[in-house]
Amino acid sequence: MTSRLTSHGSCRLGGAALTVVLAALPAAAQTREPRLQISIGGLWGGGSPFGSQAATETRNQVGGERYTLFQTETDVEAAGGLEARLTYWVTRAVGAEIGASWSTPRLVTRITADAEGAPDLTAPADVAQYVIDGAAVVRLQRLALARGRVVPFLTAGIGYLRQVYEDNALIETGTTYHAGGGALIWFQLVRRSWLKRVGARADARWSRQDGGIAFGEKGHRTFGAFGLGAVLQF
Amino acid sequence: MIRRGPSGLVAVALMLAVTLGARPQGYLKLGYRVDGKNVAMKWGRLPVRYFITDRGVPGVTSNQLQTAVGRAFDTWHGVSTAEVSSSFVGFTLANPFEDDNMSVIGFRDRPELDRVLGATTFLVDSVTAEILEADIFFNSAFPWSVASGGETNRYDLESVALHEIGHLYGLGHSAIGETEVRPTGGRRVVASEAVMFPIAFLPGNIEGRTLKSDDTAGISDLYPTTTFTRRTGSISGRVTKNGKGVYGAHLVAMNPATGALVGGFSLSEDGTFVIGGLDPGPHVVRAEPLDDADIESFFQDAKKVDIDFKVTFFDRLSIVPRGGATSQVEVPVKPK
Repeated sequence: MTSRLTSHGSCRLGGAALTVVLAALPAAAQTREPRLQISIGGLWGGGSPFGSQAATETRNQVGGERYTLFQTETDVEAAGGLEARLTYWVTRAVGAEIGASWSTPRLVTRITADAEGAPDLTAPADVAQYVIDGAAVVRLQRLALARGRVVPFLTAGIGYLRQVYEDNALIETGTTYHAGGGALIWFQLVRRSWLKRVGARADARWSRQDGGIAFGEKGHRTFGAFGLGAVLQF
Repeated sequence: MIRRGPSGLVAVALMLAVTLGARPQGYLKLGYRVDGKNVAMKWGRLPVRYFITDRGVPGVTSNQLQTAVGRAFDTWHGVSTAEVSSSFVGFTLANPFEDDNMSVIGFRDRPELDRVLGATTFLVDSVTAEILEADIFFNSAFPWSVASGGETNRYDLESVALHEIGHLYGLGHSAIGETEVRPTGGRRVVASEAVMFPIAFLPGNIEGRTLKSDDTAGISDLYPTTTFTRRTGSISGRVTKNGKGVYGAHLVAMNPATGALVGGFSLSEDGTFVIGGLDPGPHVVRAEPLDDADIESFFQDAKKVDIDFKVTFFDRLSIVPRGGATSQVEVPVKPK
């Protein structure tokens, strides 16, 4: 089964985790149901703090605290975006997918407590964020609702992160990981020669980004993300 | 200022921090006017070969002076992103500031300079701004110490040597520091975050033996390694007041990821500035008047420096690219 996935080339980004999941499934689980699925929709990613940092100077005394010129606290704000995912259902239950997303989170630094009385200020910087990922998807058919029209699923994946600051001043790259679940909601069977089903996809994910614009003690950011989009099956 | 002409070139001797504050060409660099343009003063040939005056002062022998100066040189040489080097030639009976074609470092008794711990003079090629010779003196009118942990009521020789060697390599004064005026006159440093701040820490304090981000950015900007040039970037922009440029504003770029502070100045009447040697990524930019030290420590044309404005932050994060400069950053300030 692993070699079959490789021949389609669509799950290479899924990596070892996907291979392990698929290897556990019997060949009999394969089905003639539509194999190809495309979803396009909106994405909302939560914000996350990068922590505080003070602008300090060495005091003119032996030992003691440093002199604080001003204080900063930096966050990435929540942001919306767009996402497209292409899924290939290897079996009735298991699929491999690749996804691409674009969003525009803002990096903001709050500046406070200036020693010479400058007013507090929030200084932003716009960031364009691009992610390309591969993931494994498992449909939970036994938990389907509404006579099979609502099908829950689980997903996990890994991806490439590219974040571009405003004016293309700086490009940072990193790795993303996500895990979560959601539901496929089928509206109707179309049964045209090329289009089989139309529906919606809603999912919630926990995401982690290593590298990129993230800084602070942890060097990564974690946040929740939600997606909602239209789904076509072929 | 002394004029003379070795090797057929017109050369000029500058004494920093005593009679002249040489005009900074960049944010930290000393500059010399060549054909109407400011050119950064730097050594064209390294290592810098220096002699130590074979004369000690109470509490410090000439050997201890040489050891302390050697450690201070080594601290500058330890900056991985800069290519500077020096070589101790030997002891000499010559004094600093003598016309001897040697770079000499030593003590001199200058009680009339009652607020000067040390100073550096240069012999500069006025055609290329290349430093040909530099002398450093430490004023033996003050009590000195080379004790590893510092000594109460004595100034730390290594700290002051580190500052003066920064000048020797071509760095000017940094303004990253806070001071308060003493009732008896002069200023007392409250805090600073640059070895190149023009006012020393109190006697007994050895914090000045450690270079700060501003110092390493400055020396690296002047003598960069290839890695430094490729890896770091700069912020360029303008400070304005009522639509007009502000001359002599002090700017600080703060990296909110690390807290590192690197300073600079607006060096022309249209208020333009460049802060170089910055790590890539977002920076907070703060403009303040140059009111924490004597303006003459930084600018020869002190009367032109505008200190009548409030401390102001740039209202966006300034993104520093790798190996490049940000787009123009404009910091509009308001009068006090």
